[in-house]
Amino acid sequence: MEIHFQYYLHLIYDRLIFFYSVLIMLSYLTLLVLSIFEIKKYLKRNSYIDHKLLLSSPYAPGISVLAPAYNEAATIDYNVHSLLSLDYPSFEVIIINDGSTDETLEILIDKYQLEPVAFAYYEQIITQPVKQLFKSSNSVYFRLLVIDKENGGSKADASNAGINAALYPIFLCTDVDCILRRDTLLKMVKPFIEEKVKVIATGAVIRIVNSCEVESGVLTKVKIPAKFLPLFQELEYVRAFLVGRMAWSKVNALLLVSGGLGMFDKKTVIAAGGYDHASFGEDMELVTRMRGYMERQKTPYAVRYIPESLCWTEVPDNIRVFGSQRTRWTKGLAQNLWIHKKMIFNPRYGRFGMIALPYWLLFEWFAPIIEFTGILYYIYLIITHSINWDFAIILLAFVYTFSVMLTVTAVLWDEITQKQYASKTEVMKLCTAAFFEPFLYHPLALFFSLRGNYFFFTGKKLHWGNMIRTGFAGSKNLINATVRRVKSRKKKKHEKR
Amino acid sequence: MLFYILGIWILPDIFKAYPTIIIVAVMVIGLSILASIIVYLIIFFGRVRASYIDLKTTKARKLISDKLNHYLFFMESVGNVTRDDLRRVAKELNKITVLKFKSRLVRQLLIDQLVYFKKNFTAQTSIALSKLYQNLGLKEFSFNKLHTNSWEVKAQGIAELREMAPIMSATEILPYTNSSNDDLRVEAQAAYMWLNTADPFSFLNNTSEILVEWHQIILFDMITKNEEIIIPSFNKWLNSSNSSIIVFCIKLIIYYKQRNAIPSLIQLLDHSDINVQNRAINALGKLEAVSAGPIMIAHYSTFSKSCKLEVLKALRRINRKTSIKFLRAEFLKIDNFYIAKCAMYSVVAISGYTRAQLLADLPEINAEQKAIINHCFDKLINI
Repeated sequence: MEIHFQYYLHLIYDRLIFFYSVLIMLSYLTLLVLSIFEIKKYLKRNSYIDHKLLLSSPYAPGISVLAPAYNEAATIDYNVHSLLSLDYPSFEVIIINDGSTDETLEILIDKYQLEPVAFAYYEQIITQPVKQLFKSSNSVYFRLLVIDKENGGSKADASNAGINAALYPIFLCTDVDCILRRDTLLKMVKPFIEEKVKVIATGAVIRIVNSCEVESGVLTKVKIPAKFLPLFQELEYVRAFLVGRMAWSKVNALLLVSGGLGMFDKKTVIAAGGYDHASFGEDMELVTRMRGYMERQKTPYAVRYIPESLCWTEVPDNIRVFGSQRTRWTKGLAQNLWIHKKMIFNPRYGRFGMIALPYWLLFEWFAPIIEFTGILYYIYLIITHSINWDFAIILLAFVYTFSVMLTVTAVLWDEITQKQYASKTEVMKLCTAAFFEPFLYHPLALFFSLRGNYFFFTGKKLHWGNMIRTGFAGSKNLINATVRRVKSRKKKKHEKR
Repeated sequence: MLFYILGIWILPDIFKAYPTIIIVAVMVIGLSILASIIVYLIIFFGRVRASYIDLKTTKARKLISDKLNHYLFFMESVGNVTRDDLRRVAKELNKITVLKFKSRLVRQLLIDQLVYFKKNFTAQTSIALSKLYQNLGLKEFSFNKLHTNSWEVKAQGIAELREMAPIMSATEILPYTNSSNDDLRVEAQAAYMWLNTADPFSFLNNTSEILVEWHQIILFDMITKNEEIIIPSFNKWLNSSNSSIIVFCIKLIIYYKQRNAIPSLIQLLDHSDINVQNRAINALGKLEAVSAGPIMIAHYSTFSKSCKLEVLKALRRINRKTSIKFLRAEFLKIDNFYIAKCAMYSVVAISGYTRAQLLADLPEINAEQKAIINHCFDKLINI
């Protein structure tokens, strides 16, 4: 009996899992090749084009910028300022205060001279109750609309409220703490107006702001993250956005447009039912549902990605917050695959159902589980003294060297696209980090991925953590001053009463 | 299998006795290390090269910019530039481009600067810049781009020629107006319109390809900025079999306020393409086509939701009190929130009622309808 068990174990891990690994590597290589084709195509198409043409055109489609805010008092003032400064002829900024318990709303009212308005709010997508809507009495801020609503427990619920109030046919969903490049709207709307098929969503590269210099909500200098965790996340972002997303965009099978920066066709989003407030991966879930809807309608459509870095966001720099975020992401992925299981390997959903979803199932969701069992197998072999150390080391080196190669190539793609960092040293630092990533960062990512799966399978409750903002370099004092000013005004008002 | 064969051939004897999996793994390790080193070197030397080019570019740009600024100031102050002046400028700039930097990069920089200035200057200065471009032999440089294999280089060349060499023959561009590459084709069409001022729109007669919105924006900008173009009556393309051409011409009809197109626009209300219907209704509103009001109302029930909304807006723009009854009825139906809201906006705009008057006039409305009325009268919302 034991001989049989060992035989099958060897068969699985010595043969099947090896071929599974080779298959994953081949898929990564394919993505690498496809992505550079897509990047080159984008660069060619935009090499001589003046996007500013849209600024003076009466036919630029209107865009609603939606930014949900929950306890963002530390940075809300500058974030809204940054959003209002975007270059575009026809847009509005909708801030959705999702029942913040800090001074987020008070700061907004104070800074932007907000007054309640009799806005006829129509609930096309059901959300938690909306308490009040505000517009500024100062015509300088005529583009701003603030929605104050009861907390929905997720970003999805707040975003849905924003969609309900949005005026324009296209909306950009972002996080209020994200810093957008001024030409973000010009760049992201272009696929909507240049494709022959209906574009339902676009995304762009998101970068990490942690060590960058920011003044009044505007990025003034891009710097490579100084801390260990953000640095490896930067590497991961470059790989995910420039290789993964661009490649899937090339074959029009993109599954994920990040919640941090995504532009959507409002009509399709509403027809698909809006964001799912119960999902922990609401961004991926929405795109999956929209794709499903379009496939069922048999309407030709596309989801496109832009290789330019248009958005900077703060990422967790401590393991607790990082862990909570990654656990949520994995649970979200598992939820999404489970909810849409009928689309997987279903020819009715075209290459999305036959290629993209199976890829996510087999190589994104399942890979960490396989990897974990592989580690257990290694431990078993060590305990039973049946390990062949030469082979074990070769196989580890096999995975390690491939991973490093993949990551440095992603950095090269980044260099080809935009040369984000001013100095050579910073790029070299990023490349060097690729050598340490498999030892230092990957085990963490793996652990939290397993944790996410554990939460999914056990149905254990997972809360939406609140990302703790530390503020950007040089902006902390200003932020604290604003919070103090609002608190002191509130105190004075209270005393007067 | 390939890996295995290569492995057997390349690897030292020690590996040859190993299982296939290990041989494959060793090969992948070797290839990955090699690829990583190559990529590393490309990144490093790419950066070194980029720094060198940056340095060179900055230096050249400064020199070109200084010289051009100097002469532009001179041209603006003199008002009329003589042939000798131009020759002197060309000589100075030639020193920079030919003697100091014998590279395509610098020539391209100079073209970019000239194009930039040309876009921002008019009259004599603009003409002088064009002549300067030709005196420097840059026209040939741009023209040579048309003979490369890359479509984006061709498109760039066409864009430069359009901007800088208005006296060149449009026939040189003509072959590209039917290119299978969308971007190149539109760039060529834009240039053709710019250069062939006598019959700039002839390409509209035989374009079967879809003119996407982005390309319409490029062409619209080109047409409306060129004061020398003889504007035809766009009416004649409203029967085109290509819906995107109809939509594009409707936009131009609105811009040039061609009210003679109103009868044809009314006919488009029956068009099979909803987008064309939508644009036609929009145009009728913007042209304030009073005669179209009752016709649109008569067609109303057959329209899609987006067209219905456009009709309600068009009636607001036409601004005839006779529409109020219809608009009021649409508001009271409350089949659709957005239609009711749009109808109320139009009622408010046309009737000139105050909020109190409207509420008194519509006593039996529900909370949603009341909210819409309040919305329409809120000054902060409707800035």
